[in-house]
Amino acid sequence: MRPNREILRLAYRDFAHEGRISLCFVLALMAVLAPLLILFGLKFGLVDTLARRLVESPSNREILAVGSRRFDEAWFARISARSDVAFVVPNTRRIAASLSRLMHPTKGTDLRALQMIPTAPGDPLLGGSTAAPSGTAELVLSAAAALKLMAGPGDRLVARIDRHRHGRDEGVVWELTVAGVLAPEVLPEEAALVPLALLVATEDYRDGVAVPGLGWEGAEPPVGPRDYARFRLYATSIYTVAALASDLAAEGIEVRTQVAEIAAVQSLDKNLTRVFWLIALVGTLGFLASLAANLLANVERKRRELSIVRLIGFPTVSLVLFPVTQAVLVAMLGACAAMALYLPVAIALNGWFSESLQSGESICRLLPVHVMLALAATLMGAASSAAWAGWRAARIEPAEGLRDV
Amino acid sequence: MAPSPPVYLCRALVKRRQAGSNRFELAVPTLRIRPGEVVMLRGQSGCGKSTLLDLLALALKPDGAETFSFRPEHRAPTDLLRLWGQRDLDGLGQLRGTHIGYVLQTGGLLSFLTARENIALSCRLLGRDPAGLVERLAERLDISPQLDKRPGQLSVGERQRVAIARALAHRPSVLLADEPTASVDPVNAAAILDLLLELVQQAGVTAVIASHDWQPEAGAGVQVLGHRIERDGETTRSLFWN
Repeated sequence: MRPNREILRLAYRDFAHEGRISLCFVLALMAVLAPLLILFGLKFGLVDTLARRLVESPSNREILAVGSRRFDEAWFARISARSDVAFVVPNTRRIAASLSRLMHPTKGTDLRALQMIPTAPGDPLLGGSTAAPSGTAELVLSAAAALKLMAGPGDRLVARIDRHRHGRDEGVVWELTVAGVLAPEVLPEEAALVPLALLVATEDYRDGVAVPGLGWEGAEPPVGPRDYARFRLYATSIYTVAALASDLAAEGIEVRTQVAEIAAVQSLDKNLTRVFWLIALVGTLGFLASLAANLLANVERKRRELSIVRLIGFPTVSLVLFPVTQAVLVAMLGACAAMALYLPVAIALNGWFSESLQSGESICRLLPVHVMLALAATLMGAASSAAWAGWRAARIEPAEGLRDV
Repeated sequence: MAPSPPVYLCRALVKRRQAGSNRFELAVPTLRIRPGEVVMLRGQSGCGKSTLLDLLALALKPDGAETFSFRPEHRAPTDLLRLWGQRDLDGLGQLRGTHIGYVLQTGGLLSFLTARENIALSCRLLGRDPAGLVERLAERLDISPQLDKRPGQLSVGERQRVAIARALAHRPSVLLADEPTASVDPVNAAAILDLLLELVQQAGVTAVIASHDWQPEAGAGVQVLGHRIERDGETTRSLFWN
């Protein structure tokens, strides 16, 4: 071990003595590694975020039923148990699913015939940030509806439902609280997301049936389990939509999905990934080639020193260790320099795009495991090319490298 | 008393080199160097002195020999042909590092180490503590003020003195010197060579010194090898023997 310990010291002394040339090697490594890190950062940030948004976009994952049928509780239990179903909630008949009028008493604004959409916890439209409304006195407004009403979370609104019964026009009025407002891109039209109970109550009231819970008068409610005319159904991703839709069709349920959109998104997702890996492959090969070329050239330049070291009596292992030590120094310092360049770029990129990012998203991001992989690949590439060059240098007779000494 | 066994024993040792259509052949019909002998190679430049020294330094593979053995003091002889045949560069390196000190024509110092570290290197490789020894050698060679300078800051003569110190620091049994003063001015050159001879003889080291112009004083105990050049068509044959 003595010669090896000694050679480590020599390799370091030479590296430090040739400070400027060593710095050039480090900078050369940084120059090819830093853009590669930024590229990978963009892949794991921008490209994956975009792809995930497209793949997880609620409108692309929705499966719409065409026409009305009767779906019972058992059907909903069975569908919601499927692993490819992200969210399912019963829906009432279209005719019952609107508020006759919704008013903001303090602002004096109102909306007529506002569409109601049933919701529940886990609704993709709510995303992660908006809480689902509960009971029969809360709703979530779409951005367009909130804008028209000039309403925000916490505002108290007055809703009205009209019906025609026994030849007379009747109506009920009750108070609702705005539990939240959706982001504009989630749902462009004017609509209110309400708990299923409220939709059911509205459907009953319009059918002339009493709603005791809200004090609305009417005929005696029917006994027995309730059937629903429609549903709101979302697959877990665009890749599971087709199978889910065909299973429903097999049950005789006519459905509509965003087939064309999904095909476009899938091909974009695939092509973005391909483009990235192509650039990454070329970039990585270039990086390894330049690293190897630099280190091989360095060993050629060190022939004189290696011959002297050999002549003094150092063994083959030491001759391999000398360039490997210097290569590892170059790799470590170069990788650190590349990270030092990458970090401010990543912070700047994430800063510029912070407004269009949702929480947990980044434009440019590398996980610690990615950094470790990059470092390991750099070290491996550097050490193996230097070891190969050192091994070649060690195989020549000492006198051959000596004569120009 | 029987003469002590030779350090180097060569018979029909040959090394060939080819440069274009010209062939050069170094031939050593017989060579026997005993412990403590100081042997001198004399001849024009290009006559193969360096090649012979490289062969003796175990740094160059011979093309053929009947016998080529190396026997450092108090050791069994080693068949160098066998080691070269096995291409045992580590084995040869270990023999060289332990028993041989080699002064090259241009020093062969490591530019990134100070003179002191260069001198100590051969000792450190063997795990010996060179402290004290380096200073004593430096004092003898008159380079004490230069010990903490790098080779780039030294004159050619100073560098050669450092190289001599390095070749002797690990107390080898053989010292080889290849035109150690070729690039030094004549006055300095003679002084350095006289000093080298003195150090070698004091330490009782076997030495082979190549020089084209050095004239050691008569009776200094230096044996000059026989040397002749033969031309045969495009082949130049250089012979050394004793």
